[in-house]
Amino acid sequence: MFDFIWKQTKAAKRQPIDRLADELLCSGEVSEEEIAAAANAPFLQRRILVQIEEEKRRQSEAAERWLMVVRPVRYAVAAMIVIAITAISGMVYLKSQLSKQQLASRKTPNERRERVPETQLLYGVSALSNDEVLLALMGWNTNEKSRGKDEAAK
Amino acid sequence: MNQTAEEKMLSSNGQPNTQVYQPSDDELVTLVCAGETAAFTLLFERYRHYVARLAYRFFQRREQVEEVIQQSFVTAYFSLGSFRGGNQMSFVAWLSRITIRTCYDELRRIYRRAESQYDNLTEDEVSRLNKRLQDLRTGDDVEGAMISRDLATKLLARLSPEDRMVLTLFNLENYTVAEIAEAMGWSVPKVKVRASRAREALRRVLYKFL
Repeated sequence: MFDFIWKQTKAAKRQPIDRLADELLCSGEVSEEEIAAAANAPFLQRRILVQIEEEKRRQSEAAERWLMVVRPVRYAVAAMIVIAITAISGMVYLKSQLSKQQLASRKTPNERRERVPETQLLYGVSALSNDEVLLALMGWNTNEKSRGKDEAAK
Repeated sequence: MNQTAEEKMLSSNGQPNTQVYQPSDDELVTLVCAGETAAFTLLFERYRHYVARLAYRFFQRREQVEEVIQQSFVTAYFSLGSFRGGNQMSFVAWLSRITIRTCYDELRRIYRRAESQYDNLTEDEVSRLNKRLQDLRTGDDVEGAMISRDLATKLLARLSPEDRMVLTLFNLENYTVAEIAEAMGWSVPKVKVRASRAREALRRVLYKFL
């Protein structure tokens, strides 16, 4: 409520100032005669055309100056462009070759080894039972056990 | 026999023939781009009053307005290649954008150069400003008792060029926020913020002398 009253009071105080500001802005309006006087100013069109011509001349002179610099060395520029293109294409080619080599060298030993079918790996290996595999992993062997017993008996 | 726009536009002696045929703005622009200077003369004839009216919104002195007209048309001439025409934008809208930017550049130049030029108002001007406010307070709507243009110029010169642009385009030219944003190359939120700040800045300027 207090906020609302405060805003209302502020707006009421601002009103005359805002009206004055509007008048101030509008006071810049000029009559049609003044507009016509400025638009129909003598030589205005002539001045514009002269400035355009001057600007065109300045632009062409700037371009001409640039050409003057380039003309004596035009063959050198052409040769340099060809060399640059060749060098860039060579770099791109070498880079692609290098990346291929790097890719090949990054392969793990397992990746590098030729893949052999699993059936071939197990070829010639007699089938083992689960117990035998476990014993082998533990370092036990049925033969070793019996060998140990024999040695004890001796 | 089918005549081209160029043939219709020029009479037998090569002078602009405005009485017989009125080529469209787009046709004239095409001709100017083809190197026909007479077409540009026609465009100038057509829009110089419009540009002058717009320039008078920002400047009060005639020589300044003439300068803006000249610069606007020269800039327009060299930018005609970027004018698309057709349904995209009319020539007058395109030209008004160029004029607004020219005015903005000129305002910035003046603001930088002579910021302290309008430091103080004379006592007479301050009393006139106060009297005008009194008239407003009592509700007397006195016609013809406008604040003098010199006083307005002095007070408005205290605002930054951005504030002046926004206030003038918004209040006098009745541009929308989007149109101002497009003309000035600003974003819409920036125009909104700038409009609010410009109003506040103008109030501050007035409070200072009241």
